[in-house]
Amino acid sequence: MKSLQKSYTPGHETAVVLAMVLAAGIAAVLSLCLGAVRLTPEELVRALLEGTQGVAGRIFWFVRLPRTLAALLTGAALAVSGVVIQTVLHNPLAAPNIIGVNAGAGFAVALAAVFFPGSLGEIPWLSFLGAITAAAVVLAISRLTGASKITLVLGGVMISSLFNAAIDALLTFQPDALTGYADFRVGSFRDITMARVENVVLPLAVALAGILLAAPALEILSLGDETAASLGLSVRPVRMVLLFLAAVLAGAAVSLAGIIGFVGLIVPHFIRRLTGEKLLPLLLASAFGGAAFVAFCDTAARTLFAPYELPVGVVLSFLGVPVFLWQLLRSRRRRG
Amino acid sequence: MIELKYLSAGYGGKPVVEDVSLSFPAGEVTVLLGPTGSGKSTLLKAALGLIDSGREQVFYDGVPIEKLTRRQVARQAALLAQARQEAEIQAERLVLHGRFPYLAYPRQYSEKDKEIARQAMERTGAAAYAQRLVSQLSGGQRQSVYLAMLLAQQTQTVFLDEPTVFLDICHQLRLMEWVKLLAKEGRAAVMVLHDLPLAMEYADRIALMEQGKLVFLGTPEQLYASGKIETVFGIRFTRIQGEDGMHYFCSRKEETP
Repeated sequence: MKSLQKSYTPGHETAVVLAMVLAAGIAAVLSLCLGAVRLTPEELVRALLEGTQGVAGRIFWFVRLPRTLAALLTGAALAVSGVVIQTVLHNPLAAPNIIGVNAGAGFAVALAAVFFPGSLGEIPWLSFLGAITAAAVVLAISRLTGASKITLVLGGVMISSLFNAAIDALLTFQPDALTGYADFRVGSFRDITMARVENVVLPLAVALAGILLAAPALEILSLGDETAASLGLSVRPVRMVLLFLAAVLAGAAVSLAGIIGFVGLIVPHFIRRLTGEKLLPLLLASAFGGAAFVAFCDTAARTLFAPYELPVGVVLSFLGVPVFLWQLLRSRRRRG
Repeated sequence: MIELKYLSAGYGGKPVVEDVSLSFPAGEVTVLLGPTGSGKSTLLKAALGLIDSGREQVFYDGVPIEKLTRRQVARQAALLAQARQEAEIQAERLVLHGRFPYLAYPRQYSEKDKEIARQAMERTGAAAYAQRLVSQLSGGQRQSVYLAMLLAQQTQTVFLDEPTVFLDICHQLRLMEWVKLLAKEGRAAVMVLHDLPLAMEYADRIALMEQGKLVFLGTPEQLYASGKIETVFGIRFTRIQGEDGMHYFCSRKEETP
């Protein structure tokens, strides 16, 4: 994973992680306070302590908190999923949205919504299943074709567009199937409920914990398959398990927000420039950085043009692309 | 000692190496020579258990490799791989990863591991750029970092897959001296080389391969006398006596039109 990152200076990893934690904290408070009704910090604290009494309390518990949590969790899940997929496949272009994992999850969700309307509780599991299926297909393609970096991405893009076409086909016949998901195709948190957040918390936490525990193995894997194997790592099973966990994360994100792209590709690159391939800080900083990014963009999405709301996926691209390009240019200038 | 007995190995059930019996004794530099596609790298990978081979064909101190875990193998044999991911990682951290086969859960490197890694870096001269990123080092510096990682792994046998590619001539010679030193200390060193003169000047034993078969095994002197290099590679291979030993030359075989 060369060329895209050159500016990492060792020794600052802990500071980077702490900065991202702080950013996530600030984004969370902003997301909780801002909106159609502005909550002051005191109202926030009172709502936390007193529960759903009063208008502020009800807004906090029923509207803001589910939305903030969903945004934080989605961002963390996609960013960590991106780190894992890029590292495991030795491919800086890979990410859950690129290799079809998000689209696979999205297709499963759309399928469930069409054929089993109202099956809210099962949606996350179907979403995981879709994500895992897509990951397995891509892995199989890469093995059959000899795993060249470019065929892998090509295969993923194919799978992705196949699933996207399938989603479009479903929604053409059943336009109202995804009523619980505003702007499903670009990603949005507008119709989020606490129940939906609760449904994914457990699998998401398990997958995140598993990946963090596997961070040393992931770091060895980043040295290349042969070197990793010669250091005693069982490359194939480790890769499979990690890819599986990354698919669970992406599936969780899709079942919360719809098909949000982009975060899983960009956040890992952004963070990797600050932490290098030291996987534990990279994973932690990506989790908090991704959470901050999505929560911040979601706040912007619903306040910028209030009372109109943009889908968060749109804001992510409008804000994320310039920031990323700016960083590319800056690190190039520093190098040259 | 690692021994191969009637080894057949390949990819997807198609054998690339067939019926090779070979052992890698301690204290010797064994060089695998052969044209491209003759199965040298495949042999190396099979000896490390990185690709499938037939059962009971690769033995580590008499134990078939199927009976060993990956970690056990990694404590006995290290590999300097040819295809490497040039990761954005600090040199000292990469060397420390040489201790990975010895880690127990939760896989935290101990002070002892760090000390071993530091000594390894001092020996290969990598200590001077311990803090730098591997991706920002020159080819020679990078190689010394990877060699330190190999040393930190503290294995009886070291495999090097074409370690001289991308090195300038000075670093190539330094590397060969290094490998000789490792063998002198009692390790078994096994390397795949493409450079015939380099192999002839530094190897203790040469295994010559052609189309997946071992066609010659012996000292460079014996190999030269056999004339096999000329037939296998299709070249003229000559030598002259220099002040400091034999020097070898390859040239194109005259073809009569």
